[in-house]
Amino acid sequence: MIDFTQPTPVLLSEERQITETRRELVLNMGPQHPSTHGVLRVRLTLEGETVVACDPVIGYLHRGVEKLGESHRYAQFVPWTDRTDYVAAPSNNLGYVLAVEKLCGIEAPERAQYWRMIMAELARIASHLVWLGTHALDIGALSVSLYTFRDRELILDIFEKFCGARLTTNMMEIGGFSRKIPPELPEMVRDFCRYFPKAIREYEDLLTENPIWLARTKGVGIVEPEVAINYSLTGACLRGSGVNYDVRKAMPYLLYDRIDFEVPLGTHGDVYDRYLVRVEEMRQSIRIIEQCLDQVPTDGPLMAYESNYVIPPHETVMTTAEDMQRHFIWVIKGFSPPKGEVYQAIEHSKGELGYYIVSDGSPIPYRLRIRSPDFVNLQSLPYMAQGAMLADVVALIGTIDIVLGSVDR
Amino acid sequence: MSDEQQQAPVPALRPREPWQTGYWGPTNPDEHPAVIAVRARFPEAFEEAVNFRDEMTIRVKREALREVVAFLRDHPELRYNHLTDLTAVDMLNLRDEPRFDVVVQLYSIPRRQRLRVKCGVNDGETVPSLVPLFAGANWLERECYDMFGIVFEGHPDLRRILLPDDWDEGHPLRKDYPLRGYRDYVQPGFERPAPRVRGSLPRPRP
Amino acid sequence: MDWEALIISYLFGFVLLNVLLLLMAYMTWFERRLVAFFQDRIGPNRTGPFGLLQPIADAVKLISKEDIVPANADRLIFLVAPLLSFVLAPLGALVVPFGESITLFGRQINLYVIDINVAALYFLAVGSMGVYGIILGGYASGNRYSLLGALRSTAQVISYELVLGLSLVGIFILTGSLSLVEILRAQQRTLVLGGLELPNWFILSQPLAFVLFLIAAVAETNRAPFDLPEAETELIAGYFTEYSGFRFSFYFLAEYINMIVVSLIAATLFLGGIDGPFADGIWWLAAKAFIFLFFYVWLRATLPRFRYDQLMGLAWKVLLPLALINIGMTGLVRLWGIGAL
Repeated sequence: MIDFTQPTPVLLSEERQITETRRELVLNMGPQHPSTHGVLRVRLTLEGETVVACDPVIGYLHRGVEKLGESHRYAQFVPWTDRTDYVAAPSNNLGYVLAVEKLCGIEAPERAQYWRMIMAELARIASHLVWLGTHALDIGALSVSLYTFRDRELILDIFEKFCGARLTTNMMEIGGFSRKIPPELPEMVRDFCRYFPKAIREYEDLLTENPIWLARTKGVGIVEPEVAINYSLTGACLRGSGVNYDVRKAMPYLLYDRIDFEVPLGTHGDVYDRYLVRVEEMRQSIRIIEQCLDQVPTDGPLMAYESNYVIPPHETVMTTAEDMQRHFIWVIKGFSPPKGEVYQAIEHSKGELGYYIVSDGSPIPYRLRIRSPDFVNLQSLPYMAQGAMLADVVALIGTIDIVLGSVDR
Repeated sequence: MSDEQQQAPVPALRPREPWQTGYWGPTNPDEHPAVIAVRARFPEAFEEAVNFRDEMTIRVKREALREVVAFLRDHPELRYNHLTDLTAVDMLNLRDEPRFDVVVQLYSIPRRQRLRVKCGVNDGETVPSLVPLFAGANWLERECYDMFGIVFEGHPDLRRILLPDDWDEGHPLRKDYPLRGYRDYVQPGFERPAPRVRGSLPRPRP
Repeated sequence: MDWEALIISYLFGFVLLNVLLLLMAYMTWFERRLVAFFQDRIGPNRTGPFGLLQPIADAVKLISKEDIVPANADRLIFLVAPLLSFVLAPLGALVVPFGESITLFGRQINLYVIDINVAALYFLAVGSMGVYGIILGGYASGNRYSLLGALRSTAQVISYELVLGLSLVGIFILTGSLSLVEILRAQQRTLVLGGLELPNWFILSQPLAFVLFLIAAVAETNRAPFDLPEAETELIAGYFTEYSGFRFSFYFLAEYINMIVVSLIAATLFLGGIDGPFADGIWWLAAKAFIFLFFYVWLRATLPRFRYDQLMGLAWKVLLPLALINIGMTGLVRLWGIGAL
C-alpha cells in the first residue's frame, strides 16, 4: 500500500510531501501539463479540491532576450521580438519599431502606418483566437479550438502573402516597410473581414449562453477594479474589471486617433466578463481593419526615406552611389540613435506591451527592456485563485491569456 | 464606478514632431506639475528632472523612492495610480557612481499621463520596495533582483523568478556578465564542452 | 440442471462478448470520425477505406507498446486494476434481451444469455463494481493526479449510481418486475392514449426518469461533460495518467464497452428494445442503441466540462429530488390505477 501521508522516497524535495496535520496536498501543475499553455508551472497546495495556496513558477522558457537585445544592433533585434509573444508576432514588432523610431525621431509614412495598424489588428485577432480556443479547451469545450484554429489559418495566410512567414513574421521594419504591398492583399483582408463576423457568431453560439460555460466562468476569478489597478493589470484583464484603459484610446499611437472604435468594458471582473471583452475586441478589430482599408492611400511611400536611420529602398541602392553607401553603412555598422531613453507602449492583444530603450549613442541598445503584459498579468493568479477549485485554476490561467515566450522572455 | 477608474477625454492633438504627443505632460520640467510637486515636497531627495523626446524623468534619492511614489500616487492632482513597469539599468559603462538606475514607469489612468521616476543605487545598497504601494511591483522587483542583484528592502518574497532558484552565476543583465555566461556546459553530442565564454567583439563606442 | 441450455447460454455469451469487443473497436472509429465532422476535420482516413482499419492499427500499436510500471506504484494493484475494469465492463450486456427466442437446429435458443429476476439490479451492481478498477488504478499509480482522479471517480459514482438506480424505480413499479425480459415484454403492448395507438415504451410513461437515466448514465460512464476523473486539461489523464500500452487500452476498452452496454440497457428499458413499428427484431435495438451512442459523441463534441462541486450539486440538489418526485408520482398513479386510492 502506498502511504500518501509519507514523503515519497524517489522524488525529491519538500514540496512533494503532504503535511499530515494540515491535510494538504501539494500538486505540481506543470511545467509539462496540457493546460498550462506551455511551460508554466504552478505549485498548488490543495485541501481536497480547494486551492489553499498557489505559486506560479516561471522561467522555463527564459532565453535572456533582454540580454540578447543588448548585443544586437537595433535592426537585428526585430526578429527576436517575434520570439517573445509568438502568437501575435506583428504586434511585438510594432512595439519595438515604434520605440526605436521614437528614439531616432522619425516617423513612418501614412500608408505604412495604416498597414501597420491592419497587421497589428490581424495579429490581435489571431492571438485572441488562440486564446479562445485554448481557454475553451481548458474548460472542456473541445470543438471551439478547432474552429478558432481554422479561422486563424486565414490570418496566417494573409501574413504569409504579405511577408512570406506565418508565425514569426519579422514584418515591421524601422521606418516602415521595405516590402511592397501585394496587389491582392487588400482584397484578401476584405474577404476575411466579411467572413469573420460569422465565425465569431459560431463561437458565441457554442459558449456565450451555454449553461455549463456560464457555471464555469461566472463568478470565478473576480478581480475588483481597485485590485486590478493595484496589480498593474492591463489589457482585457483590466478592462474586464471595468477600468477604461486601452492604450489605443488613452495614448493613440500610429493613426488610431483617426479610427472610430469602442473599448468594451466588463462589469464584474470575472472570467466570463474577460471572455466577453475579448470576443467584443475581435469585432472591434474587424471594424478598425475595415476603416483602415477604406482610408489607406493606394500608393505612396512605405518607408521613411530621408533619414539615415532606415534602410534605403532597393531601387536606389542599385542605381545611385549615395544610397549604396548608406545601405552599406546601415547594414555593416548599423545606425546610431541619439543618447537618451524612451518608453513606447502599444496595446498588445494581452495588454500594454512596452519597450524601454536606453541608448548610449552606439549602434547597439545600451539597455532594452520588454515590459511584457502577460508577465505582469500573471502575478495576479494567486489573488484570483484564492479559494478556487482545482478546475478553476486552469480557467484562470486561460483567462489571463499567457504566452510563456512572452512571460519568460 | 469611482472617478479613479475613468479617464479624461482624448485631447485633440496633432503633434509637430512624431514624438511630441503630450502623453507625458509639459516638456519643460519647470512647468510639469509632478516635478513641481515633488520638488516642493521632497526638496532634499529631489535630484533632477530630465526631458528627452517629451518623456519626463524625475530622479530622486533611493531612500525616498517609496515616499515619492506614494506621494505621486496619492496626490489629488497627480494620481499616478498605475505602476506600469519597474526595471533597472546597469550604468557600469556610462558613469562611476551609482552603479544602477532603478526605473519606475508610472501612469495615471484618470489623467492619462505617464511619468518616469528613477533612483540610483550602488551594488550592495538596498532600495525601498514598492510592494506596499503596488501589489504589481512584486514580480517586477523579483525580476530586477534576479537580473541585477538589486535588493528591495521590504519585499515580502524576494527570490529569483526567471532563473532557477539555485542559480549561482550571478545576475545576467549586469554589464560585466558575459553574454554566454561564466561556465562551460557539456552539450550532448559534442566531444568537449562548447565554450560559453568566448572572445566577443569589442562593444562599439559612440 | 439443463446442461444443454447452459452450454447454449455460454456459447451465446461468448459470441456476445466478441461482438461487443468488435463493436467497441468500431465505436472508437465512429467517435473519431464523428467528432472530426463536428469539428470541421476529416478524422482517421488513411488506414483502409474510410480509415476502417484504424482500430486494428490502434490495437497493434497499443499492444506493442512498453508496459511501464512507475517506481512509486503499488505494483500488484497497479497491474490488476485495469483488468478488473475491463472484465467487469461487458458483464452488464449479459442480461440484455436481444429478442425472445429462435429455433435453430431443432433447438430453442433464447436470445439472451440469462434472464435473472433482478437483472436491472445486476446491471447496476456490475456497473458500480467496474469503478473499482478506476479507483484502485488511480490510487495505486502513486501519482497525485491519478489519486485526485480516483477520488473524483469515487464521489461521482456514489452520487450518480443513486440517481441511476432511483430513476429506474418508476419502471419497476409499472412492470412489477426487475427482469429486463419482463420489462421488454411489458413494452411490447400498445398504449392507447386519446384514441392514438402508441407503443407502450417507458420513455412515454416515464419521460422524467428517461432524462435522469440519460444524465446519470453519461456520468456513470465518465463521459463528457462528466469526464472529471480523467479530465485531461486538469488532471492530465486522471486515473490512467501512469498507464501505458495494453493496460491503458484495457481502460480504454472498458470505457467504450460501458458506453455500448449502457446504450443497450437504455434502449431496452426506455425505448422498447427490439420493439418497432414493424418487423420487430435486433435491428431495432441496434438502431436505438446507435442513437444513444451518437448522443454520447455529440455531447463530447459540444459541451464544456462541469466543475467537481457543480457536478455533485447537480446530482444531489437537482437530479436526486427529481428522481424521488418521479417515484412518488409513479407510485401514486399506480395506486390510483389499481383502485387502491
